[in-house]
Formats: sequence, C-alpha cells, structure tokens
Amino acid sequence: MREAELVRRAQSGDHDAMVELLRSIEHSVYRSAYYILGNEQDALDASQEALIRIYRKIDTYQEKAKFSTWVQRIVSNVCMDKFRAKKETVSIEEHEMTLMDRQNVEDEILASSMASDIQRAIAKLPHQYRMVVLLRYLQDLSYQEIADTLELPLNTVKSYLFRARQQLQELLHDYQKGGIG
Amino acid sequence: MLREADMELLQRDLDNDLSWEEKERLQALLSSNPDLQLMQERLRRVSMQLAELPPVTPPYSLVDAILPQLEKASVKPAAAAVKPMREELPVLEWKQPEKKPFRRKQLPVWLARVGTGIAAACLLLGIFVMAKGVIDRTGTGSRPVPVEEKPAVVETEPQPSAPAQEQPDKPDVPQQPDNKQPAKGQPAQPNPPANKKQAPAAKPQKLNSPPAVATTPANEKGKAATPARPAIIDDRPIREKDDDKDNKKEKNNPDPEKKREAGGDRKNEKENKGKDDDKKGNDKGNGRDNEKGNGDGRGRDRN
Repeated sequence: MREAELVRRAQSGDHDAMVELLRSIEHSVYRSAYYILGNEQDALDASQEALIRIYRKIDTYQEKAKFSTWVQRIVSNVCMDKFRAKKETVSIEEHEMTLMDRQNVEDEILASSMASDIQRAIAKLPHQYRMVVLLRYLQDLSYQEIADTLELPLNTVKSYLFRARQQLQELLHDYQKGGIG
Repeated sequence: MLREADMELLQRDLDNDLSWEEKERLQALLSSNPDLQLMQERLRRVSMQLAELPPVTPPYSLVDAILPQLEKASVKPAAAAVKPMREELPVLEWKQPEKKPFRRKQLPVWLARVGTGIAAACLLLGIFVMAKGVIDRTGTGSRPVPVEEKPAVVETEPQPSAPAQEQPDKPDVPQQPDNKQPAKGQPAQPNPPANKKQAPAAKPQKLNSPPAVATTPANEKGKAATPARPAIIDDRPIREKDDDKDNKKEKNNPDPEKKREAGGDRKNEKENKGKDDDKKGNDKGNGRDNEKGNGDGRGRDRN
C-alpha cells in the first residue's frame, strides 16, 4: 500500500514521493546489480543509472505488474547494457565449454579468493542464467515474473534456471572436492 | 544416470512448483535412486546458498548521489525551452566562419574599388592632360595654321590676300586693283576673313583671273579647280610657305616695284602657260594639277 501510494504520487509529479520511492528500492537495485555484475564499481554505476531511468520512466509504469518486477526489469536491462558494453557476452555453449575446463575454473577461483564459493560460481554463469537465478533468489520472483521481467518465454526461464542451478551445483561440488574455498 | 524428467522434478521441487502427485512420484524415485538423492542434496545446498546470499549495500546513498541529476532532469523541461535559444546562437556562430571568407572577399572588393578609383583618376588626369595638350596644340597649332594658310593664300594670291590680312594698312592700294579685277570674273567675297579656307580658295581665282582675262581656257580650268587648292597648299613644306611670305612682302612693296613684279608675273604667267601646255600633254583633264603647278611654280621660280 505504501509503495503503491508513493508510486502514484511520484507519477503525479511529487518529487519528494519520487525520492522516497527511490530510497525504498535503492538497496534492492544495488544488490541485484552487484550480484549480476559481480563487482562494486559496476554495481554502483548500474544502480545509479537504473534509478535515474526509474525516475524518468515512472510515468510509463502500469500497475498490471508488480513495481518490484518493473524495477528489476530496468536493472536487468541496465546490466545487460553493461555486459554488451564490455563485450563480455559469451554464448552459453562457450561458457559451458569453459566450465568443462577445470583448470580454468580453479585458476579463476584462485584469482578471486576473497569471494565466496557461491559468488564465484554465480560469476561463472552466463549472463542470462545469472540474471534468472538472481531474480529468482534475490527478488523471490516466480517463473512468470522472471519471464515478464526479462521478456523471455516461461519455459526458457525454467530452462535457464535449472541449468544455472545445475552448473552452480557442479561448480560448488568441484570447489569442495578440490578443497578450494 | 539421471533422467532429465527426474532432474526436472528435483528442480521444480526446489521452487515449490510440484503438485501433490508429482511430489509423491518424486519421493518414490528418490527412495529407489541414491544418485538422485545425492543430486537433490547438492541442489538444495546450492538453493540455500543462493537464498542466503549476503546482503550488500552501497557504500553511499545512491539516491543522494543522483539527486543533482534528478533535479536537473526535473528542470530540463524549463531549461529545454531556454536551450534552443542558446543552441541557436552557436548555429549563428557557425555562420560567422562562413562570413570570414566573405570578408576576405570584401578586401579585394575594397582594393578593386580603390584600384578603380585610382584608374579613374588616372584616366581623368590622362584625359585632362590630353585635352590640355590638344588645347595647347590647337591653340598653338591654330596660330600657325592661319599663318600657314595665310601664306598659302598669299602663295595663290601674292598681292591681294596677304596685305589684306597681315598688313591691313598697306593693302589698300594693291587690293583695289585686285578686287576690281575679280569683281568682273566672280562676285565679291562677302566675308573673306570669316572663312579663311574659302578665302584662299576664292582668292587664287582672283589671282588667276587677271591672266585668265587674256587666256580664257586657263581661266576656265582655274575656276573649276579652285576648291582643291587650299588643301594642297597646306601640304607644302613650311620653308616654301616662309618663302612665300617673303615673296608676299616683296609683292607688297610700293607701286614702282609692283610694276616690276607685274612684269615678272607676266613672265611667270607665260612660263606657267608653257608649263601648263607641257602638263596638259601629260595630264589631260587634270586642271587642278595644272593649277597646282602654277601655284607651286611661282614660289619655286622666284626662289
């Protein structure tokens, strides 16, 4: 109720309501950006850009979907733009091939010893897998909400989520088996 | 080996997406398949780790950081109305470099104007100098021309014309006989000094007329050729004209000398007649040339 009221006031042009609304979603936006992008600096840039987009496009929000879902869509788009800017987009097959190379995985884990196993494993996921998993666990979105947020078919979302968890399980098993982390 | 359908049931169970029947079927599979149980355990651990991801917070307030931008964005509509005006100015400034070459083009225009002014001044000066020179020439030339023409007239009219113009006091005596004689052959000249050219043209006839009285054929030829004389007389060299002037002076001497000169004139006339007869054989029908020879012959004979 509180969030819906702030949204209406912000859409009507209430600057204070808009700022308050942004403050309410600030941490959530940053958390998603941080786990999606994998580092603090990129997360800060993406979060600020996402908040500015939310501020500018608040008029386009419709109550058909959850406000959190709409916000996460914007965050996901900003993060995808970041990925494209860095040209880090790698096809899923290529990413799976790299995961098959255990030596590369171990090297990557050793390079980022400060991160937890799960965080390292998440960082190894393809972007689409990563986003689906994070939306599922960080934002507690359903399959359909994830599909709406990422504008993907429902079965695709399920497939991405299942494959992501499977890869994470393999990665974590490998970390524990190798005594790393 | 795990089947894909069994793995899907495990995955969906993690998301609480299984129906009651699917859960019973999964329990039956797990009880009969230890590998499936192990996989279920690993996936649950992964899911728990994902659900327990540590909360991360930004080191500073993102909203406070973007508030200036948000305020600018809120001001944009008002500023947008002002910006176009400011943006038009640079557009106008872009036209300035286009004017620069135009200014550069103006420089030669100024130079061209100055050049044209100088050229016009030079032309005016040149015209002025030329005009002045022409005036001077005409002024100085006009003076000698009448002088030259006067002797020419004198050449043709040694006795009457020269005294009439140059020595108005003396000619009174000699002009009378001359004027009387031409009055018979030709009508009197209304204004001899007004048309100097006409005067010499008419006067030679007067000179020729006295002898023509004796010889009519020569006189008739002289009448027909009178208009061409002055032009031919002008072409003579100055020495001859000066000589003619001297002759005029001699002709203008007092009466006793006139008688002598009259005799000389008669002799010259006889000589001219002889020459005319000779020339007639050479130039038949050219009475003018014969008369020219008479005019020129006088001065030459005397010289």
